[in-house]
This record gives sequence, structure tokens and C-alpha cells, in this order.
Amino acid sequence: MEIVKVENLTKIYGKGETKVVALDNVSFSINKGEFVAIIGPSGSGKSTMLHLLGGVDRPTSGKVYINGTDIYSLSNDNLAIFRRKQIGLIYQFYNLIPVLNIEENISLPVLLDGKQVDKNKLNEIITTLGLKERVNHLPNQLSGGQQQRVSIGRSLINNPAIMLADEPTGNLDSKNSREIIDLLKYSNRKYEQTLIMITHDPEIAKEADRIIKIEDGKIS
Amino acid sequence: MNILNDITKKYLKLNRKRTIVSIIGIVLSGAMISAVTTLAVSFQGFMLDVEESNNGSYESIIENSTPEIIEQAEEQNNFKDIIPVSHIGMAENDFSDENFIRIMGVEKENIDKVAGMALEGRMPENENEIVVSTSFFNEETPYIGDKITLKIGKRLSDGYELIGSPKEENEEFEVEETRTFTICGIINRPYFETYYDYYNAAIILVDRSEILNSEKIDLALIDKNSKNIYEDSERLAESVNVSEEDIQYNNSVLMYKGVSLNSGFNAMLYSVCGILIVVIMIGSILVIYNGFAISVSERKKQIGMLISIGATKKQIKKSVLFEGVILGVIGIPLGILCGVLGIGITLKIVSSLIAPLLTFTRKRRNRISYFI
Repeated sequence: MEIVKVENLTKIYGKGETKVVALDNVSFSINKGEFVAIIGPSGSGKSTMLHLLGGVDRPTSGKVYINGTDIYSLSNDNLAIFRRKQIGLIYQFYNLIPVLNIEENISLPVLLDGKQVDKNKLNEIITTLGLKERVNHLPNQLSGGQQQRVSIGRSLINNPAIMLADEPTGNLDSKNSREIIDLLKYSNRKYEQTLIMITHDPEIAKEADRIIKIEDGKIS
Repeated sequence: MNILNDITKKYLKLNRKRTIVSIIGIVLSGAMISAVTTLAVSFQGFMLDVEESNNGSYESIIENSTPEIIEQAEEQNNFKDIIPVSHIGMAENDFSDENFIRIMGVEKENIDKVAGMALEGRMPENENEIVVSTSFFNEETPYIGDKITLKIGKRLSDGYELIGSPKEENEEFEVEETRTFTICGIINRPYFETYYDYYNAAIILVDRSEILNSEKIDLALIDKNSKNIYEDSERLAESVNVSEEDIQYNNSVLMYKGVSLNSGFNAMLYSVCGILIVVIMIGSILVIYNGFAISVSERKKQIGMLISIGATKKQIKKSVLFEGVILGVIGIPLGILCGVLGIGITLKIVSSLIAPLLTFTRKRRNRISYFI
């Protein structure tokens, strides 16, 4: 079953002489539960691709369907709501809210919806991520690996259709990287979570079911 | 509790220094604006006070009427204060060949409303005391504390009564009573003495029955709504067939009350205040916006994170607004309090310096009014 479908996606930055074609008429699709790695040299357009998949930016032309929804037909506010329900984002630098503790950070997407957090789900995630002893700590009291685990927890809490990870191990040592990748793979299997990960590390890319290579804005 | 508001509060607590600086900025601006407003209102009130103690607090006076006007005024029910002034009579001035003394009678509780406060000495406290216009006094005349005997009566010329005109050769003086008073104070020229009158004004105390029995009275008025004083006075004068020319207005008091038609003073005061407030507002908007913008740029990263997690623009706007509300709720009342208190203290100190300048050598308790 196709969960992500990208049709003729083009993104152009700037105009005239400063025009940069970041993505050039890209089409592909990803099935539910797949673990896809997007690799490519820096400047190849892979981050642009992730932003467009995540609904953070808007494309110049082309369409992105997630779970059957043409996400760029939505208004900005509806897109934001769609994003927090259907897309889990994991960043290289964790992007945790420094004033909220671990439990609150993980619950944030649910709280932004003004809903009650499912305690069982929250406890399960916290236990899976090995953060049980840390729930009341603030992000800056944790190690990098632990912070990344919190951000994985946050991306899982809403049972999103897809998880997007932007170089999730880029800021971690090899031991922590290994742990994070294992966790991502584990949640990919356990929750049948579709996982799209950007990386430039070929070793990590090898773990994926499929690799999409991007070069000069095109799939190669 | 909304999670974003919670984040905002925690953020404000975490950045205590910036929060306090922002609040101080708001307090300062609030204090300055309220100080300017308070100062203007106080100054206006102070000038009104000075004017009321110089000339009395009446707003208009209908002259040359009869006691029936009192009933009419009460009936029309437009006036806060209805103050009858009885025409007692003229008296020969033993200290001047040309001048007379004109005596009016007022009830004790009303005397300051038609004559203000004594320039020197005090206002009369019983019927044997008299206050005399400052124009009466020279080196030969009796002074405060001295007794003065007055033959009170009418100036008549060919059967006509004379009041303010110069002494005529064939005029006669018809004495009605002779009374001795103690001069207890000196007042400014009251409403019934002008520069071209050939008499000096004097005021004594009378009671209500004497007023009701007098031939002629003047009626001083203070309107319930000062803005209506012109039309209400005219209507009353018309109802007792008194000419409009017999209505006098206390223009300086009306001016400081913001009623008078020629209110250049108020226009000046308001425009100076307006300009000052605009300047303060521009200044404080720049300062506060700057502080706020820094805190926003510091939070931009966080806002970016929140957006990436799926916070809507509306939610972000609300949380920034919430921050402003928190700062404002703490800062604005504090600012107003500081401004009013500060200017109150300043005025208390300054008033003792200003009051003598504005009221000449009057020994009078410092009456400065500010609206707290």
C-alpha cells in the first residue's frame, strides 16, 4: 500500500541569475512500513526533499500525497495540524523545548492538539526508549543520544503515518548512532511505522529496505 | 492550561533578567504617561483651586433680581448650589470724598463661593464682622482688627437710586441704619465691584430670613453639570424677567473647568500633554519592541521547533500575545501606580514653592488637588 506518493515535485529557489533548482521533477512512492534512506551529497536537494515531504516548505510545482491526502492543497493551518498528526519529525539537533521536561516534550504534539495524552502509550514509549528514570529531567540534563531518543518518542506519540528523520545520527558518536538506528528500526517494525531517513553515512543507509539516491535535484 | 502558554511562562521564568527588563520598560512608560496625565489634571485642578480662592467658586451670577428667583431656581432643578446675595445698601466712605462703600450680605456657609478666600485676615464669622475689597485700603483707612462705623442707606438723585456712578452735586444720602463692624479681612474685588465703579465693595454675613426680606438680591449659581451653565442661567433669568446683561459668568473658573468658550488654556494644556504622550509612546514602543524583538529572536528557534512539531501560526501568535499580556498585566498597573504616586509626591514638594507665587502673599494652606 502506497503511503507516500510524490509526483513531479519541483522546487526552485530564487529567480533569474540566482535561480537554484533544488528538486527537478522528482517522482517516487513509498509503501507503508517501509524503511527508506535518502542519500546524496550536500547540496543535492535531499533536505529540500525532506522538508517537502514533511510539509514544512511548499513546492514550486508537483504534488505530495501522504495517506491519500494532497498535503499542499491544505491551508497553512490545516497543514500544520496535518503535520502534527501524520508526520513525525526527527532532527539532527533534536529540537527539544528546553523548558519542558522529557515527558512533556514527548507529549507535546498531543498537547498542541489540546488532547489528553494516552498514559499507556506514553509509558510504553518511554520504557521502549529507556528513558524511564529521566521523565522529569530537562533536555539539557541528558546526553545527546538520550535527547535524540526523546525526539524519537515525540515523533511516535501521535502514531504518525510517516516518520521523517533528518540525519538523526549526525551529531552522535558511533555507539549512540548504533543505538538510535536500532531504535528507529525497532519502532519501524513494532509500530509498522514508515520511516524516511536522510543520511550521508553509507553504513547506516545499508540498514534501510531501500535507498533513494539524489544528485543535483534528481533521483539517480 | 494551554501547553504553549505553559511554555511561555516557563520561558519567562527562565529568562528572568529579560523579563524584568521588559517589565521595567513597561513600568517606565506607564509611569511617564500617567505622570504627564496626572500632572496636567493636577495642574488644571490647581489652577481651578487658585481661581476659586481668588474669585469664589460660583459659575454665574444673576444680578438685580428679587427673592422670588430663589424659588424659581430651585424649581428648575438644574443647579448644585443656589447662593443668594442680598443688596444691603450703600454707605458713605469717610476716608474718601468721591467714593462710597457698597455692602452685600451672604450666608456664612456661602461666602467663599461668591468671594473666595481672604487675601489677608479671614472671612467674617459673625454679623459684626466685615470684609472689605482691597481697593478700599490706603494709609488713612482702618485696617484689619479696626472698627468701622457705617451709615447704610441709599444714594438718591431726583428720586432715582444711584449705585456705581460718580457723586453728583444734587444727590442726597438717605440713611436707613447705622452699624459698626470689625474689619476682619481683605478680599479681592468681588463680582459686584468693577474698576470703574465709584465704590469699594464690602461683604457681611446675613441669615436666610434677611435675604428673603431684601428688596433686591443677586443669585450666584453652580450648575449640576457645568457645561449647561450658560443656557441654564439664561433660562432662569428669562423666567424672572431679568435681562441677559445682568448675568455675569466666572470665566476663569469656567475656563479651568474646561467649559468656557475661550479655553485657550485647556487647548494648550491638552496639546502639550498629547504631544508629550505621543513622544513617550513612540519612545517606549521602540524600547519595548526592541526588548520584545530580542526575546522573540531568541525564541525563534523554539518557535521553529514548535512549528515543526505542528503548532499553527495562530497558536504561535497567541503565545507571543500571551507573553505580552503577562508583561502588561504586571507592568501597566505598576507603572500607573508609580506615575501617580511619583507625581503626587513631587507636587506635594513643589506646591509649597509654587503656591505663594500664584497666590501672591496669601497665607493660605497649600491647597493642591490631585486626583488620587
